[in-house]
Amino acid sequence: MAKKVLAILLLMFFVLSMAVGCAQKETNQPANQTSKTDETSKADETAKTDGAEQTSGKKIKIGYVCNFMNAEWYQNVIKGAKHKAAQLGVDIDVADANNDSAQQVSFAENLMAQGIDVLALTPVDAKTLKPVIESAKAKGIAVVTESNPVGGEATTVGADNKAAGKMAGLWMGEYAKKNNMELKLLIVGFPNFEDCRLRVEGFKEGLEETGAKYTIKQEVDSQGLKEKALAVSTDALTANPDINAIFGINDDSTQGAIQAYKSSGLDMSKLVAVGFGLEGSVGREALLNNTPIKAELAMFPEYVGALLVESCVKAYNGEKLPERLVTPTTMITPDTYKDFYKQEGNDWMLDFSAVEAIK
Amino acid sequence: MEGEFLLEVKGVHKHFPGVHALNGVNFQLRRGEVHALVGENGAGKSTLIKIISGVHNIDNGEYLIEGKPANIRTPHEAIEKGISVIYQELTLIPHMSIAENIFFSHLPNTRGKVNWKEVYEKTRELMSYVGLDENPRTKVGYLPVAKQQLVEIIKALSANAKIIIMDEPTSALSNNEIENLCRIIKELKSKGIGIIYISHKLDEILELSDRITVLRDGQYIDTVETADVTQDKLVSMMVGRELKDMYPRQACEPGEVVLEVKGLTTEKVYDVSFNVRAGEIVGFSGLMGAGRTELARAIIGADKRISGQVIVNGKAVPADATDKALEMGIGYVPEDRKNHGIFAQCCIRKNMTISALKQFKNTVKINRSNETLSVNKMVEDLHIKTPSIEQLISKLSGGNQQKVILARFLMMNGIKVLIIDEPTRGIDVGAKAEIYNILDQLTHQGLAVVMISSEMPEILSMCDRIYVMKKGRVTAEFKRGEATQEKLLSKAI
Amino acid sequence: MEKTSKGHFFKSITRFEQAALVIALLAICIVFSILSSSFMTVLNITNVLRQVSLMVIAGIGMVLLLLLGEIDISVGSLQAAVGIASVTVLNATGSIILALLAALATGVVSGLLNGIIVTKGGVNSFIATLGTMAIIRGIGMVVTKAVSIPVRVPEFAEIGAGQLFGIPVPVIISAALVIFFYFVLNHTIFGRQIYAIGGNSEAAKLAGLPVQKIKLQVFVLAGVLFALSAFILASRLDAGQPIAGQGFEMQVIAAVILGGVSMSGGNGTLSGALLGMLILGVIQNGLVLLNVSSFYHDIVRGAVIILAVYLDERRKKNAAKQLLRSSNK
Repeated sequence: MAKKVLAILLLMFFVLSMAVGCAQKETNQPANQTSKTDETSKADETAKTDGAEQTSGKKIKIGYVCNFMNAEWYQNVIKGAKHKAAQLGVDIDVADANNDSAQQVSFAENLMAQGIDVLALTPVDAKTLKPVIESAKAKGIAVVTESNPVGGEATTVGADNKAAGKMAGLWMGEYAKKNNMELKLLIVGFPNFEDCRLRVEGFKEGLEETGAKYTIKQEVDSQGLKEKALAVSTDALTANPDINAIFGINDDSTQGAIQAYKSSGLDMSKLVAVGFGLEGSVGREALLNNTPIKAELAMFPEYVGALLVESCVKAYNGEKLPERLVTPTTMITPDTYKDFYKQEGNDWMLDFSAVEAIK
Repeated sequence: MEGEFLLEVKGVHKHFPGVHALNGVNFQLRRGEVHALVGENGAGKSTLIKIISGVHNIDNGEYLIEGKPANIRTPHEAIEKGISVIYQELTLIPHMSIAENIFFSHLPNTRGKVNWKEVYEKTRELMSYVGLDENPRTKVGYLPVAKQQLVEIIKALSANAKIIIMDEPTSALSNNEIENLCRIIKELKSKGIGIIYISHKLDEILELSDRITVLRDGQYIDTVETADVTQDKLVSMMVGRELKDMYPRQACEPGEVVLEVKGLTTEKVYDVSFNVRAGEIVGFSGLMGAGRTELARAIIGADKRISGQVIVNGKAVPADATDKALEMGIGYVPEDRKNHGIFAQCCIRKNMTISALKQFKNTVKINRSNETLSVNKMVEDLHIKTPSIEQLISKLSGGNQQKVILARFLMMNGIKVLIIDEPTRGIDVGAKAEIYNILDQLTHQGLAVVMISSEMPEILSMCDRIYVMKKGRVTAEFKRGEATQEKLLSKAI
Repeated sequence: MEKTSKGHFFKSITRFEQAALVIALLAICIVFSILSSSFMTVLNITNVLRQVSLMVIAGIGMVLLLLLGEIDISVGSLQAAVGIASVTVLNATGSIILALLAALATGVVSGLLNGIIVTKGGVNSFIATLGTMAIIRGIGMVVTKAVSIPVRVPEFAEIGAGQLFGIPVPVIISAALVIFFYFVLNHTIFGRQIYAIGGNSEAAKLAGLPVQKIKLQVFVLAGVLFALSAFILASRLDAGQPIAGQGFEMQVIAAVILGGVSMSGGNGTLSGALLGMLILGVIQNGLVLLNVSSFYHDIVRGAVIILAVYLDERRKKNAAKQLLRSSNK
């Protein structure tokens, strides 16, 4: 009797936790679905106003398997993608691999089985996706990747991390020269990831090029997390309390390091920080609220998402695409932020034409 | 044929740091003989057995097998020489089948391929020999303890044992099962196998054995022919003094009804009603699995009740909270001391006061000096033998552990009913008498005692009234003096 | 004579138990201070203590649970949920007190949830909290849409970064809690009961202890402690982060076990656990000071845990052997 109750409870519990597990990977689905409906209604409007962008009966369906939706960066990539999809009148389904390459493969397979026309991927691990691309080809499904190429896809959309890093390095070097400052640097990186390694490499190259006086005091590993960045930077600052410049490979890394600087009781006015990403609200808050972040390398996630969808449609239509579609990046300071983003109520919207102009 | 001993140890000494565990012990075993080894806990029985079975090596003295030096240094060598030990705690592998357990060290095979047909046939043959009626493929974990023990015996036989050592083989068996074991032992004897038999149950030893060797404090006392001794003689040899009045029960005038159980029903207990008065010892007799322990657990609220009531001093005891039952004055000394009684990693003091901590509370803090005082008093009153109250309880002998658990409830101010389950299981003779004495004294102070026991002599001599249970029901009630062993048994079976 | 020598022997064992950890901690400190001049500085010691203090607060809760023979691995997810709840309330009301109440309430709810599933549902606590770990993390993600919430009340940062008499506030809080719970575990009925239930819950039940009630209470208490550490973490991060505390549960459990707290219940001390947490904190700090590549950090930490547990096992075996000898008459 007691055993039965236990068995039922256990079963219920597992169903519940599985449901939650699913809910987690779909965390953003409900939210997105609501935004989808808004955006489809917007799309209806645009369809009405723009006339016949899409006249043929069947809607194109894109399946996108994101690598890690729990990051604000990808939230905004998806936001841009959905917006673009609505404009073009195509459907997009998003799944989250949650940093698990096996899960990514199975989501991609499921989407293909459901009958999508184009598969978009942000690889968790590019090496594991070769077979997925092969089987997509066999089914006649076009593939577009974001950020890292797998090989065999129509194109790869993404920033040139090294060039972007260099921009940040150049900016910081020039800043130092202008202010007659000798840079003593803390670099908060994430060496496990190639993209992040390239950012740091580019940064150092750019810095060197300017001829500014600098020493790299320490490089630490934040794993891209604010908590971790805070902990390791605190330790690094104890070893090197003369650090006066910070470069972080993403918004959380930069801000964790600044937080460490602050709680170590060091003089915030002497600190200069350059961030990388400007992924969304977290980066915006830091840039606009008079923190040591003097400039951010902006990667425009909304733009990346939009370009991803556009390329998907082009790939579906059989248009020839270059191997890499490099998305624009630029340095943004508190003064220039409003040139790119416009406030709409509580939210800030990217001005796509301003990004186009960078090219 | 004096030289023709199956096994002989002469003048054996064994030292452990600070302890002279065996001090010149002699022991001989003849073919086809049941030779009992008796002594109180710590007398050196287990050390001797460990030497014979190769767990320990001797410091001094001789160890001969069939007249030749034994040269046994490891348990494995002992098994090869035909010595098998059946320990109190069985050593079978629960998730392996009967056949696998018996043969896993020597599976019959042809070039590495196990011949399962042969394994099962041999197993069946050996099983029928000891009267075990089971499928050889059954996993041992599913068998009751008595049957597991038979599997151990088969295992010994299959290893061609010439000497079988049985350590407390009947402690977990019902009377029926004990009878079966006796039959098997007699049969083994007739095959010329020598058996070393260790037990606390002296009546059993007197019935089964041919000779008895007595040890005390590591010393060899004597070896006697069983036919020449009485139980009293044996006890005095073991404890070194005459033990008068093993059972001290002096019935006192029963007072008010303290505990009343009405129509108590659980999954294992059906419609049990009884009462206990202040100053009374009420016994529950029956076979293992008759539902007596389950009854006790239901009374204190440890097991779910389906229906019925438990009333202490006119107030109903809640069905599902042992803490409420304790608060109302019911204490329970469990049968399985090791697993359900003691907190092995704690000292005597913490073990003793765990149920009565409220009495030592000093605003928010436990008052250590009061606690220590009370514990020391209990240690003195109950003659608990220990160097310190900070000693780990697991290092005490069974009898002393039992006294600590008794003290756990006796030190409570509001204790009214004590349910004590198998009060003297695994306890040596001297401590047994002391525990009976304590119980007797307690009733004179107005405590109501419920005693669950499978040992006929203790239940017959200690209880004022006796209930017999069978398959979860009460089948009979006897007054003191009315009951006999036969009457109890006939109602239990 | 035997009496005194035995009593002495027991005392020396318990003392030795902590001694191994103290020696390990000292050795590690000595090595680091030789290799790095900035290790043995007031600033760095303050930093280490501040960083460890969060783990200590959560670690107390974990010790209580482990002593009881239970575990809660939802602590990492709770760090995120509590941060989000308290920062949301903080931004809405501007009141740090209300934010603290929100944090503690979140801890109570999660502790109750875990406790009820374990005690009433009879679900193994590892599995139960594995489930709630996912649930709590999921709720945090849903509520924030995976975007962290920045703090809009500047004074809030003082909780994590502030100092009193030159000592960081989190260190003062954790020290006070350690002293309080040391007292609870060693000198109160509640503490005695926790050890007893963890050591043998069936015996505790039969001895009349309210086993389920105490388990539920400890789950709630642990939830509150976890929430407190999360509240301070939110202040340190200056944000309510939905991805905060990932892997925190394993860090806490590893540190506490390193400190000699048994996973099977009934065995361990708060002081041991504290030493375990300090050892891991110091190692983490020292490796960064020495500028050791982060790839080696995990290797060193893993090696230290295995070594410590191995030494502990050996010590226990030796102690058991000696006990056996001295009692086997």
